[in-house]
Amino acid sequence: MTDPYLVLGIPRDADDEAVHRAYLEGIKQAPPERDPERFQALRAAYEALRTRRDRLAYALFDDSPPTPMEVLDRGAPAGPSRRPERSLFDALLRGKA
Amino acid sequence: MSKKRKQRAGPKRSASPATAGPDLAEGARQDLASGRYREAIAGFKILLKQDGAEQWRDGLAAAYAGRARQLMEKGLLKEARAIWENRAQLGEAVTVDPDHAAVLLQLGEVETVMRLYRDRAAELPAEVAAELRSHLAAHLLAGDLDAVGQLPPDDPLRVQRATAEAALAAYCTGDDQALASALRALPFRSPYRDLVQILKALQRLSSEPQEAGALLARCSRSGGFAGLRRAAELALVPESALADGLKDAGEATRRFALALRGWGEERQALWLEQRKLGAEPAPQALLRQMYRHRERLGEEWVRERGMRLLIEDFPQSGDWPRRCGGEPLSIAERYRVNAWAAERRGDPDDSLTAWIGYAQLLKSDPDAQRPGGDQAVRVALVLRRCDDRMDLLGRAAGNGDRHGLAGTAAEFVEESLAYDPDDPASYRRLIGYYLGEQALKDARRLVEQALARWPQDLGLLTAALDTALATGAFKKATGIARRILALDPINAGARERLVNAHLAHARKQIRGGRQDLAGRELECATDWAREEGLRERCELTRAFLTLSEAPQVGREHVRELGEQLGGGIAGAFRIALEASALGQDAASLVKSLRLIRRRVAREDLLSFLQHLRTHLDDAGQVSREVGAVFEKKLKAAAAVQLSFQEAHAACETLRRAELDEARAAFAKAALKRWQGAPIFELHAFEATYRGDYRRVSVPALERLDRAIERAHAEGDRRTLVRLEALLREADGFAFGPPPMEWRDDAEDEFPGRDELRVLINLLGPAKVLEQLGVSAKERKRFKQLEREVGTEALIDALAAMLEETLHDVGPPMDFPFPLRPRPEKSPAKKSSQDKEAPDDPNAPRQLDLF
Repeated sequence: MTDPYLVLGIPRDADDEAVHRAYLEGIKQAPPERDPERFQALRAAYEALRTRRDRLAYALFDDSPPTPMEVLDRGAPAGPSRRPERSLFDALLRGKA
Repeated sequence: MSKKRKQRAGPKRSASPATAGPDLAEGARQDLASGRYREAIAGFKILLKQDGAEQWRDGLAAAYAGRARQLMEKGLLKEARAIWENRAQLGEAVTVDPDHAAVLLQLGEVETVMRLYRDRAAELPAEVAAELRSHLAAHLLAGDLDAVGQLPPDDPLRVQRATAEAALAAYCTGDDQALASALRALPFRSPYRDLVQILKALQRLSSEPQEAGALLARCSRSGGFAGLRRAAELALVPESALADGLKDAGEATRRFALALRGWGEERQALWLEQRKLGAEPAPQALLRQMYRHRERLGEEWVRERGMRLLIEDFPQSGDWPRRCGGEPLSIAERYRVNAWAAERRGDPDDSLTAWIGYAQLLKSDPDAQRPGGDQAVRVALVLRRCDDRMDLLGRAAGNGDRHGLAGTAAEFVEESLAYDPDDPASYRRLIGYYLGEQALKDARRLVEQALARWPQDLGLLTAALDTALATGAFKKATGIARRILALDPINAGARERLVNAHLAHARKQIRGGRQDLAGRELECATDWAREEGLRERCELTRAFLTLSEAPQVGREHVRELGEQLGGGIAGAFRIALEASALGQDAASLVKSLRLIRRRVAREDLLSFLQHLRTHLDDAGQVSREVGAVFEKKLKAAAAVQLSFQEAHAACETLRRAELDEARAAFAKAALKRWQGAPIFELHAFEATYRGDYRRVSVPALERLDRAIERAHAEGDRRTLVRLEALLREADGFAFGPPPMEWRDDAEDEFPGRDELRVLINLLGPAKVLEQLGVSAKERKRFKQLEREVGTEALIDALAAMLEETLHDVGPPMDFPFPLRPRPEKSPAKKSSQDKEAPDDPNAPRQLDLF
């Protein structure tokens, strides 16, 4: 699974309360009807880190390798959506791919 | 992308088509349909030269268009233009294609397109003209003001361009009010209509992605705004599909989509670097990239996540972190990666060994000595890992192997409780395992420990109830069941357990002669029994209480109850079960009650089978004594007409009950109606031979083989698997291992009583006696004895006698039994042979069993 700390946007030493808060905040931003994939990821991350025992077990036993996207999210997280520059509109309108 | 563009190139064909005739025409059409445009062009050219027919010209035009689009997709615009021009030269009868105009606009030949639009737009089909307008609209919006001046003042392209420009500018500067106003001003049939949909969609990308997708779907896939539409759609694809979507995207599309997704320059640069590693980077390559950016990613994160990339190639990969510029793996890290790798290999023993090795290492940390602390909980989790992952305790299911993998896992789970005592799930698992293994003392010990910590845990209370029942502590069981029901009043399972506990206690009192106490227990049971089934059970036990107090009245009471329960074998079965539970002679009682009718009715049979199934679900087995009461009647009942499903279910139930003679009868009866049906062949074979495959005949094996073929042909996978396993077993037994041989020097290796008991059970006492050369008269006496003391007791006695005799005189020459039974000889003939050849060394020795 994708690093659940990254999915929830919390540090490795987050406690039960911080995990819960991040989960609630996450699903508020990505409710299942709007972004089902993100919602599922949040749910799985929350299940993996909910209690102290869960977090210790995740660190010990989760053997899923990092994906390139995960490295990307960690190294340079995506920010809020930006409006593309006018020059990009013009290029696409001229038929540039 | 237009439908035409979607055509995929088929397998390559020779570019030199057949020279003439229908083959050439058919080949050209096929090439066109399969996207082999070059071959199609060659074919249609020849055909057109031959007779100049319109159909060949249309075919050639379509082939040119297809080829030109292929070249456009590859970015070969000049080459595409040449092909479009070839197409245009086919004459004015060939309709102008808007994609031709698109290529010309991209190559800067705006004047040509403007001329085409001015001179021919009016005569073009409406949809072609609209698409041509759309291409021009996009071009004009991209800033070609010279071209705008060439349009008539009232042309919609010219009139509405300023509004479209205002809308686009407003979106880019974030002026949503101006944007909304401009969009409202663009009419529905505007050549800029697609832009309206796209800008509305872009406004809704984050807040209403589904609506945004719907708006984009309304735009043309081949007009002038198609590129913008594709880029906007890429901003909407889920994260998991993004890499695929970006694979073929050009720079403008990618940057447009990624800006909308919030990707900054750093992220895009890192992504481009990753793209060079391939779609699925090799673990070592990704690790190298992670270490290269470890300052940005965080040293600890790279180390921890990077360890997961070592698993597949471990232990060879153990050196990768050092080679990537990091610290070598520590001992603890090596243990962990090794354990993950063992799990991936899938060998439970390896996995257990690896995790326990890691646990030993963790235990050496002084922090691990503080129960409940992080390090101690880590030790506990590692000790429980194999059971958690493989459900070793749950799957042990009372196999009696305390020294096997499950037994070892149980020891580690027990040990884990010292490090992490606050885990009720581990207690529940251990209690369940010990109950299954009949280790009641251990189960009781853990129940006491767990309930002291969690007195109101329903799962633990249920485990405690099961433990109390298993140990015969009925009074305690009722107390626990009351606690469960106080916490969870609608807990039907606990209610049933409670009633059963009271009934079991009542039976115990009846057996002990304490009818007064039994009566009280029965009253308690009745108080708790809400469901009809439970009330019936109470009534049944009460009838037996009466029977123990007043046999005449009681017998009548039991008989009446048997009739109320349906009578016949169904009612008799319930009574036999109760009698057996009370330690009474079920066979005599059932016989004396005369409940079983001469002919078993269909409803009676189905009801009996249903009760049998329920009993098997609850108790797991039917005692041999109870089974024997019904087996003969059931064999006769096999003639009852059942549906295929009912007959199948009957065979399965009888298999579970180990009533194999009856099962064989049902299977054979079913085979008369459904000849060769694989499932009944399976039951007939299994029930006939019952694991003793030494006497399997070749025709029987051949029938099994045919059943396998049929199950395969019918796609009955479940039966197929069972039949194949059965054939392997039977075949291997019949032709595989040789019979055990006695060695002269193996005097101290005579089989023990248990082994003899197994052998006698396998063959049946009658067969054993026959093999030992016991005379028919004596065998009859054994049969009589069997009736008097029961089969089990006879087998025990036989095993004991044989053991003693073998030690005294040694085994008979052919003991324990040949691969195939020898032809039977009449006792008289055998006797005469004995007389004729008294010194025959191979003659079976008659053992003195009495």
